[in-house]
Amino acid sequence: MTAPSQLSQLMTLTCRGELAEQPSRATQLMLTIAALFAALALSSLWGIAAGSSSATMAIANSYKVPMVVLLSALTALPAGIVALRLANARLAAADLISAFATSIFGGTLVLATLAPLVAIYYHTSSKAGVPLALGSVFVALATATLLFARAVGRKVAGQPGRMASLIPVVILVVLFSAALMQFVALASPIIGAVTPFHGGFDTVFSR
Amino acid sequence: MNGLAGHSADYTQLVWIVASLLGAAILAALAIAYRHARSQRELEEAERVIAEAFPDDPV
Repeated sequence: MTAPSQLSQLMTLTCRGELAEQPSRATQLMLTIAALFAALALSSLWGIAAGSSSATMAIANSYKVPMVVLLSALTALPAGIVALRLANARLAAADLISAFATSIFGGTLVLATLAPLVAIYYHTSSKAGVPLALGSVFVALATATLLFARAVGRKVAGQPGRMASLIPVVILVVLFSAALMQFVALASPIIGAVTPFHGGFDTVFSR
Repeated sequence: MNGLAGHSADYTQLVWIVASLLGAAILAALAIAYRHARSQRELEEAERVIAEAFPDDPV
């Protein structure tokens, strides 16, 4: 029997939250890093679509958006691991990081799927283009959050004190979103229009 | 590029460049970790194949 390809394993891990066989430590690390790299490539596609109003912005977005995703994840991760330890959760840090990476992959998969729609509306509708681009980000965030919670829930299913494992999930999602908002502001302009997010926290919560 | 939190646009751009360089360094580190993990997995796979082929021989 041939071993399943890495993409196949990654999709299984993202869709089901776990693999049929417990992967070795090396395989888990490979899948985690592959999920992150794939996520960055997928987010780059969305960046190109969202910045397609000008060639310069599209090229800039192809590295800006993946960098925003990567830096937001890295900003949130230490707090999530500390929360995992403090909550005394029965979940290995490697499992949390793996679930986090695959959920980011799932979220960016949604972003890439919606990228053509974002691009076509961006060029053909003055009313729906920007809301659709912003909306696709929220849909991706919601998808990633659900995938993350489900993956962690499956890993701790049937174990006592599994609610403690949800604390780092909540902290990671909140901190990722908070960091994302500021990195988007730092990398602005990503979308060729002024949005409430161009100034980060200060403009989003200005009223 | 906007000026954030009362800072100039140049300052904000500098922060973004520093953050991007940090991100690029971490990406490079992750690529090295990936290669290391792949070597480790190939070794594990080889050990598994040998163990299956010669089940009586202690490794």
